[in-house]
Amino acid sequence: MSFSNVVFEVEGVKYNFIGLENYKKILYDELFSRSLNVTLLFSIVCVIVELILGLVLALAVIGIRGSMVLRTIFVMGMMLPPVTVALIWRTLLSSDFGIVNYILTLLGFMPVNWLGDSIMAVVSIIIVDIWHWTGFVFLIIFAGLVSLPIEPFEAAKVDGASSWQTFKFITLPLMRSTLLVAALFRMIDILQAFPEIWLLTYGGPSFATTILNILVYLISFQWFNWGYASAVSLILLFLSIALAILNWRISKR
Amino acid sequence: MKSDFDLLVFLKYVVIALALIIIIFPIVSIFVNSFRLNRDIIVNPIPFSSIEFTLRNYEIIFFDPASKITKGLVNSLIVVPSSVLLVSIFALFSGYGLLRFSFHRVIKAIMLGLILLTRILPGVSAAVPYFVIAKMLNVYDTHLILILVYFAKNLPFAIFMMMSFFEEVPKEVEESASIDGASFLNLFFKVVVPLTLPGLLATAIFVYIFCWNEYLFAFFLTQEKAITLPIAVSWYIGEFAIEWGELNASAVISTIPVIILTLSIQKYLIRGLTLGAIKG
Repeated sequence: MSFSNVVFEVEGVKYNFIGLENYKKILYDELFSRSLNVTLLFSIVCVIVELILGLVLALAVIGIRGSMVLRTIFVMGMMLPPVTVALIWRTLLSSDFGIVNYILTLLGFMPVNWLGDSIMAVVSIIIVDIWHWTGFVFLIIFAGLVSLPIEPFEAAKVDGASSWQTFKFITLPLMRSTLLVAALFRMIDILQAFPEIWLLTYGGPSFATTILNILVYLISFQWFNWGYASAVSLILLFLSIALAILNWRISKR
Repeated sequence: MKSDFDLLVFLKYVVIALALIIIIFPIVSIFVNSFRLNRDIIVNPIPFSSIEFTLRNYEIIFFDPASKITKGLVNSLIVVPSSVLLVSIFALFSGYGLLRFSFHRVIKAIMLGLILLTRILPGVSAAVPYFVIAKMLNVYDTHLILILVYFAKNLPFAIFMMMSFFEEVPKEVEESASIDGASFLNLFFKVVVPLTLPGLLATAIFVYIFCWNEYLFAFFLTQEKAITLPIAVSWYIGEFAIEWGELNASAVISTIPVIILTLSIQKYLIRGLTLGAIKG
C-alpha cells in the first residue's frame, strides 16, 4: 500500500502503483518533519522524567510496610481507561474552571491556557503522559530493585558508605540495564500513544501535538490519503522495531 | 549517621504522600463530580465544594434515549468477554505447547519473533490495514471484527504470561504423573491446568482490562452499531458544550470495573505488566 495511490471505490479498493513517490513526499513534507520533532521531544522528555520519578518512587516504597498496597495504587493510573485519563486532565487543565489554574491563581500566578496554546499543549500532553505511565516505570524499577543481590549492599554497610554513596556506586550501576529497558519500553509505547492525546488536543492547536501516530490517523481517516499514510506508518513501525531490537539486545546482556 | 537515616525515612514518606495525592485526587474527583450538577462543576473546581449532590447524571446516561452509554456498555459486554474467552483458550494450549514441545530453533525463533512483533506494532500502523480488510470483508462496525482484532492484539501477551506460569509447574510433578501412566491429555487437564488455574484467571483478567480500555481500534473500526463503552464515553468530549456531569458519570461506569479487577490481581501486577521488560 505504501507504494501506491490507494482509492476506495464502490467496486472495492484500487491500488495505483506509484513506486517510491510516497516516500519522496515524506522528505519534503513539512508537517511530517514537524511531527517527527514533536514526537521525539515528547517521548524523550517523558521518558527522562518518568525514569527519574519512577526511580524515586521505587526507592521510597521499597522496604516500607504495606508496599503491596502502595504499589497497586501507583500502578492504578496506568490501568485506567485512556478515555478516563483524558477526561480527568481535561477537567483539571480546563482554562475556565480547571483546578490547576485555580491553584495557580490562588498562588498569584496568571492562569495558563493549557490545551489551547501550542507550547503549553505539548507541556500538557507531557504532564498527562507522566501521570499516566510513571507507574509502569516505577513497577519495572521496583521489580529490578527487589531482585538485586544483597551482598554488595552488606559490604557497603560494613565499609561505612553513606546512603548516597551506596545509591551512586552500587544501586545505579546495578540498575543500569533495568533503567535502559524501562526507557526503551516507554519509548515504544509512547510511539503508540493515541487516545489520551487525541481526546485532549486532537493533535492541535495547529498540529502542535500531532505526534506521528496522530499524523497517520489524520492523513488516512481525515484526508483519505491511504498510500501516504501507509508510508508514514511504516516509518513509525521501523522506528519501533529498531527500539525493540535495541531493547532485546540490552536485556540479553 | 543516625540523623541521616531518619531524614531519609522522612523524605520517603513525603514522596509517598505526595505521589498518593497526585494519583488519587484526580480519580476521586471524577467520582465526586459524577454526582454534581453541571453548573456546580463549572462554577467551582473543588470537587467537594457542592452542597447539592444528585443521581441525575446517571439517570441521563442510562435512560435518556439520546444516550449512547447503554449501547456502548452492551457492546463492550459482548465484545470483551468473547475476546477474553478466545484468548484464554488459545493461550492455554499454545503457551504450554511452546514451552514443552521441542521445535526446531529457527521455527521457534520465528514464532516468538512474530508474537513480539504484534506487541510493538504501533496501533495506527495496524489500524489502517485492519480498516481496509474490514471494509473489504464487510465486517466494518461489527462485533466480529473487534473480537478478532482484540484476540490478535492480546494473544501474544497471554501466551507469554501463560508460559511463565507453566514454567513454574515443577517438572517432577509432570514426570511422576506420566510415570503413573497418565496419558498426555490427562496429564495436561488433570495436573497442569489445575495447577496453573490462578495464573490463567489472572491472565484473563489482564486481557479483560486491556480490551475493556481499548480505544484506538474501536475508534477506527466502529461507527455506530458496534461502538464500545470508551467510544461512547468519548462522544461526550469534543462536542460544542461538554456535559461534564454526564461525562464524569459515564467515565465512572467504565472505570469502576477496572479498579476492582486491578485490585483482584494485585499479586500478579508485576508479572503481568513488566512481562518482557524483565526477561526481555
